[in-house]
Amino acid sequence: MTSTGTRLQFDLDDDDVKLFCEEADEQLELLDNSLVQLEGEPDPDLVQQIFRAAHTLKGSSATIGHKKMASLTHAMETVLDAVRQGRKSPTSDVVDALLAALDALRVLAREVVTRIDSGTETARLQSDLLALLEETDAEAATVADDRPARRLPEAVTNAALAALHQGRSAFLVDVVFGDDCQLPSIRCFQVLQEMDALAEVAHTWPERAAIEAGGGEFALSAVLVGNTEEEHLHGALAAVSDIVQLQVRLLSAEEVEGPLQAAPAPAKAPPAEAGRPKLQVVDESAPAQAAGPARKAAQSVRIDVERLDGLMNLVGELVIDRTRLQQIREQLTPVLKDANLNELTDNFEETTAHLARVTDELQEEIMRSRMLPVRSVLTRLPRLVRDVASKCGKKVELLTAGEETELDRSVIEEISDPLVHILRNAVDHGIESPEERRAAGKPETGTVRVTAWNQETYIYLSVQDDGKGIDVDALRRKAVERGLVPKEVAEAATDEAVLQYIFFAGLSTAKVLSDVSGRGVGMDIVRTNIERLNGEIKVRSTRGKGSEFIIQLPLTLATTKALMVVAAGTVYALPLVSVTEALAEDDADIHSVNGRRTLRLRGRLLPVVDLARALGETRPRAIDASRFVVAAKHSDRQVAFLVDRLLGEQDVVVKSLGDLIGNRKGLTGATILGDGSLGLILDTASLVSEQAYPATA
Amino acid sequence: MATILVVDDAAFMRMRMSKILSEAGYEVVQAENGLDALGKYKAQRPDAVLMDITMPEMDGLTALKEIKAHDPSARIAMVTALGQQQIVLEAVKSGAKDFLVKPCEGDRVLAAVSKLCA
Repeated sequence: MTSTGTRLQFDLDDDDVKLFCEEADEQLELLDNSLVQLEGEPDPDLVQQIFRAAHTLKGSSATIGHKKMASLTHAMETVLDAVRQGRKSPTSDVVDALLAALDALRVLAREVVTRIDSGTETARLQSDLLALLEETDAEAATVADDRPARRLPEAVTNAALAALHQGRSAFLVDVVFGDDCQLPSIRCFQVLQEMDALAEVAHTWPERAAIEAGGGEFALSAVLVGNTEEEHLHGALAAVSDIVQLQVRLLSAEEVEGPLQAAPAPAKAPPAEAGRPKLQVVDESAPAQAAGPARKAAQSVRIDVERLDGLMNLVGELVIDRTRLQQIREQLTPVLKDANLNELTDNFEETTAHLARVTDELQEEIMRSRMLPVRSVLTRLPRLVRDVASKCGKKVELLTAGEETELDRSVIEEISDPLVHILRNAVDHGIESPEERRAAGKPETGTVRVTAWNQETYIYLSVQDDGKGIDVDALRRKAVERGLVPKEVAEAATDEAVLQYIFFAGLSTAKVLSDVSGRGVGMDIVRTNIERLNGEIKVRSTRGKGSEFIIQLPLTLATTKALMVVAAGTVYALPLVSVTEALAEDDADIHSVNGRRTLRLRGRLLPVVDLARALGETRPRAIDASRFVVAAKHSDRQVAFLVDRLLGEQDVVVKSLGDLIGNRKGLTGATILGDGSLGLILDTASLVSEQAYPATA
Repeated sequence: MATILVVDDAAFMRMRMSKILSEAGYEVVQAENGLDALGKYKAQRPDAVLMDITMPEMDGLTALKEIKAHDPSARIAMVTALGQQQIVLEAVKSGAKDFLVKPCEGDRVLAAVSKLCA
């Protein structure tokens, strides 16, 4: 029984815990990433790498006295060793058992930090693992333990007698190794080596060939002939470790001829180790490939994310100062020139230009140091696909590409969940059952491709399946039935537009995406999460051929491209992803529809909303100046915001509102402008949802 | 005091071994794989080597052979885990003086090292 909650003792101090955990995490991650690829006919390098990870974990956990973790990793290693040697093929059973063990390992590794027994049961996992090998071992077990009678073969007897007549001595050596001797076979060999160095080894039990092949056991006996002395032999042999009993005795001629006195019995049955197949073909000498994740980690320095965020903030300040400095320079230059201070002007210009360039580079470098390859997200997916597929009885192959694509770690953290949801849906609802696929003339195994790539300042992630595709007509019908879209709008909408309905709240994606009622993950939540990252999601689908979800994300959340506008004297930043068009009010086709000012733009009707008023500004504005209209979208909805002036596009450094002015409705953050004043970043998603006409798809 | 070269790809194991040895007064040099070990052996001529087997770049058995080829009097003990007896056997045949089985208790490590250095 386990005792959940009990305090645990490990043999390591607090300083060591960090090192232990970091290394354990690396190995666990490696296993997590690679175990799924083990199934079938794995690459020998991969098997070796997996074996090594399990092996390392076993070593460190045993060292700190984490017995559960050590014995579980030992069982994993035993199975992996069999796979490595080709004695066991990595079937899905094998991978399942290893994955189950990996899950437990993760919990066990945490215990080193918490020092509290998690109550994780490992006995069952271990027996499951070892049961995989029973068949294999039964075939290979040819362990014959018939200890030979202790009578020397005739030829040996005659040779020994002849030696005695020549004045040499004969010795009987009996060696027993301790119960705790872990590799008695090797100790036997070491004893044999020592004996060979000092005398002629006439005979051994077990036989020399067996010892040399690694078949030695807990006891070894030998008859030696030579010109040496008992004491000398004793001293040399005692140098071999783990010996608990050592006898060296001179033999008389009668003894050589007759049955030899019974040797001490072997201490006990050899442990499991000795019961394993004796002859192993292990290609340990093959050069192991160097480029494992562990190697990479060893060459990098771990930095606290908070420290990186702090650096990013400082650079943000610097960027603002740089912009201010440029403005000052522009004002100052004519003054300096007028005062005939040309040299000073040149120096000043040169220095500010250099400062600007270095600041840019610094910003880019720090931004880059926060970037992670999207691999860390993608590598979790094979396991997920495998689990979901086996739960729904489907055959699915996952292909990934573009793992090297980098994006900001804050984006990586946020994108994982939406991606997992989409992928789960693709397997659960997109890919058909093997029978359906066969009937449709497709290969039984469906394919899901996850691809990442960069384009300009965006990163794209695509999840593409070759499943049944989305039933556009069903989607159209459902959207109308639920009152999400007016009938005439839905009917007029293109199939492509209708497909985007699946992101509507209130549409059961499960029902729409497949006929099977299942666990549909709300695609509206996926969309909301992505838009919160200033990203976008779109879907394409062809009935019978499959669907593709494409996510577009900014490279970083720390800065964003925005259209700067002025409304009622305040500068606002509209994230460029949401801006569709900007035009002068006078040129806009604005009419009154049902008492609301409405902009007709490319065939769509957008409510015209005074931005300042929408944000709670109540002061009347000066009417004289001509104004501008900025069309902004949030998923399927659009709104035209009336603003006083357009300032142009700009990269803005996003700062939390809380730090500056406290949270306010309709805003996501603030930014410091070049002149040191505050600009407010609009939360277009919430503003548009609030102001848009319902269902203007 | 004698200098011991500790070879292991796992930083944690290296740290443990080094701690045990340096507390007993040995000088410790660390290497993180066989290739690294070979270089450090040539450069520093340690009195004894504790050599892990399963390592990237160059495994312990190859490193043993290389070091032995360079210096036939090199005193090397293999550090192994269960399940590697054939490799250990080959190592002993190739000149390893001793071996230790992980997890290595401090006493065993010190006993093996003092035997190696004797």
